[in-house]
Amino acid sequence: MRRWLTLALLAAGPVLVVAVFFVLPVGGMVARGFVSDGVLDPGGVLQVLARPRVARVAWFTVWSAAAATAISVLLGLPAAFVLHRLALPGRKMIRAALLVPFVLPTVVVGVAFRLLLGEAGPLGFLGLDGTPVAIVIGLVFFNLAVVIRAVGAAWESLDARPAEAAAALGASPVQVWWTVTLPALRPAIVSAASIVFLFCATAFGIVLTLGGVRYATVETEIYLLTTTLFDLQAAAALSVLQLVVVVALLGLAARLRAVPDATAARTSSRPRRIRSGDVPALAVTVLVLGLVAAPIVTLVLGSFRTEAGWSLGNYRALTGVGSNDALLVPVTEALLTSVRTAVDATWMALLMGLAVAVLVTRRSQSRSERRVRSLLDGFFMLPLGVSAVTLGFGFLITLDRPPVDLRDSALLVPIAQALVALPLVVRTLVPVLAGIDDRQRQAAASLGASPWRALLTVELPVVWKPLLAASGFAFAASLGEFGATSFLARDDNPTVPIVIFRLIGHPGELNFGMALAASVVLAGTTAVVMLAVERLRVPNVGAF
Amino acid sequence: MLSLTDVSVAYDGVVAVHDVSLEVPDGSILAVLGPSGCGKSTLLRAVAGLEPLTSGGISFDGRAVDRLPTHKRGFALMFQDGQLFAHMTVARNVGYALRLRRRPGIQRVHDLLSLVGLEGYADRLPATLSGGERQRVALARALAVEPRLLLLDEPLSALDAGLRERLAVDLRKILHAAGTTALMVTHDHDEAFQVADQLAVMRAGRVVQSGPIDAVWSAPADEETALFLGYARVLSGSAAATVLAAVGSGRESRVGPASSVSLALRRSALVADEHGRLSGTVESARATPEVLRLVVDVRDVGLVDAVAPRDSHWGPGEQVRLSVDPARVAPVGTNLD
Repeated sequence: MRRWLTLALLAAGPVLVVAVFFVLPVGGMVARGFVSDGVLDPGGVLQVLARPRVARVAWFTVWSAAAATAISVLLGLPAAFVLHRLALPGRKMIRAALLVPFVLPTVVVGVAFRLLLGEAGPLGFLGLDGTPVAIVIGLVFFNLAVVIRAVGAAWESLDARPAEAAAALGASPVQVWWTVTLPALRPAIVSAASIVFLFCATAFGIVLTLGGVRYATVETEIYLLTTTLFDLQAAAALSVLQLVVVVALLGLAARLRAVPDATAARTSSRPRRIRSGDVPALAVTVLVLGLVAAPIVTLVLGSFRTEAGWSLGNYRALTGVGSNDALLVPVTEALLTSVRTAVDATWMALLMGLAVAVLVTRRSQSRSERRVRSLLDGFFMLPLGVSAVTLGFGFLITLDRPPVDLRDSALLVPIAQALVALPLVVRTLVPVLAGIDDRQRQAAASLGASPWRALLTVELPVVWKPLLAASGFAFAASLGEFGATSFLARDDNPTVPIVIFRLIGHPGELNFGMALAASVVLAGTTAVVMLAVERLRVPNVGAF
Repeated sequence: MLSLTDVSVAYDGVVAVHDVSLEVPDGSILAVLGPSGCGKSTLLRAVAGLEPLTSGGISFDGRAVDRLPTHKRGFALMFQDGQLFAHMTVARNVGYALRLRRRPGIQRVHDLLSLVGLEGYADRLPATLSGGERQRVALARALAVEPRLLLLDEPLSALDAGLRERLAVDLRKILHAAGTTALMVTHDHDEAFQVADQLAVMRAGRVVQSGPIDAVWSAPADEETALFLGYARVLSGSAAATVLAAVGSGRESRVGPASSVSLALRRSALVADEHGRLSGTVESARATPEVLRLVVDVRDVGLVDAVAPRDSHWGPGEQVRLSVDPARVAPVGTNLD
């Protein structure tokens, strides 16, 4: 009985939070799609989905995501090999640096790419600005890190001996790759690809800044329908469509991940010396580094360029509101708001994530208990399945009246960001907690340690580093969060990504310069946080 | 014939294998025996082409192979834990090398499976096999394309004792039936004796003794080698002379200048015998399923191990006479040339 009581107590908080701030908004959003004027009207949803523009938007979403996924995997595999298997000098530094794009605020990346590919940019001659190609490249920029990290981690811990056994049986390096290495890596590759596809299909900030109105994905279309066209039913219909597709994709990804990879005996093998046969892989790695570095370098350089030549003018202007009163508050104030919001979001995500992680990793004693725990596990992964835009939209239409009226609460944005960050925290902590042998706790208990004491002795030493890493990750994610925040942040109290988006939407060279400077500040902050996290060397950060 | 000439291998500047020269004649099985960390596995990996040589050369049938990549050497390597490809069935594992060479192989695969005693296992996955079965599959896979040299890395040590003994006998039978030239490394002297014809003892990266297995066995090069070969104690000086004097039957005792030799004794070299020439005091006695094991303080010799029949009774403090079984003692260091 006491077990169930503990379980219930531990579960109550997070369940309530997710119910109020996730199920309610998303449910309200779904209802909005199906009910018009107080009558159930599923035909309305179908009507929206039958619009030609919707079909175009859906098709664009699918093919751009598929193309970006394919390119990410093709470029990411050789880079993962080089950075995780070869004795390349400075490879740890490069690996840490490659993590930065993944947490860069999407708006910042959009700005950087526009600068790089724009008419006056270093790659302007390619004429890619405003084309779908630019969007795909932007998506690749983001998700290369995911592929390199996920596949690289699997590759690094891959036992080298099956490959050696194959070579000793007469298999050439190419044959070893096709018959031994690729089958062993397949689960990691498939799982990385499905996650990347998910990220690409729900990408928001990057598409909005690079695609404008012409090239919209389902995600940006929802935003446009809500904020510009006020067609809430259509937005809701698209959200429902996306919800269904994303949940199906997530389920598929989970099934693919669940494939038992008995092939992968986990060991850590020494990186080997570089041979002449590695040159193609090295070349691809250099290309990847170039692709990642180019926009960032362009962004940083651009932020120092003003009408009066090179200066810090753009940074000094951050204390103001831009030309033509582009903003209601100075950027510096938005930066403060951002940090405050991110701190709030971080502790919320951490508290919930820890409770959830403990909840789902404790060993069950009965079958019913196990079933309850696995149900809870799935329940808390739900926020991962819903795009930030859908969440923000749901907040907007449901939390503005009783029973929950948070329209003016300062906590609305942090709560939304915490929900977005929650799966990241859980994904980082669960493998660590699950890795603790239950007999360790039993040993502590048998030596006379109380449950709390056992927690301090057994769990804490293992968990504090991942906990710190998870908080850094949640903080960085909140800092750059744009999708949900763009719906919820009030004009007089915006976060930095919102401010950047607004600045690039306003004409004037100063405004664009300020957007660049603000982007550099935001990117620098997240990069520093992420590099600190990377130094903690927690294996599961950024693995999904 | 495989020839290694002054082979050295270093990891990050640390020498793991030092000037090793060995030969494995066609059709024979050489066991490299040594404690863990002595460099024997590195040596094997160097022969397989998985580790680059720092110096020296490896040749097969007079042709240098040390510049060839692993897959072009025509050797096969069998790992300690088999390293079967878990995503392939038993038959696909065994036929792997055949498929690489685009040779039709269904019949060959079935022949190999019956050679290793695993008929009917073709469609099983490696995960469903026991440890011994996995090693048999690994052996069949390694033999599939009749490699000119088979390399075995502790092929039996992952198995439990009973299985190991049975599989060792099978392994020797299968290798001889196939006429395979083989180089095997192991830390287990029993395994080496059961499988190999030739023996090389390795310590700290160097080969300290090599030769036909009986020759090495009956004349270990030094004390450490003797202990590693399973001898229980090594006596030297007057203690060795005393035991040597007690060897054999009649009066011709007095061992001349050879009294400076050391003597290695197996645990059962001294036997309780009322006509024995040595006498001492029993220190302890311990019953085993087959014999009674004694530790005896022998006059002029010191503490030695001895055995007595299972049904005799000896207790600490009792006087006992011992005779020496000449087959179970070996001179140490006489073979150094």
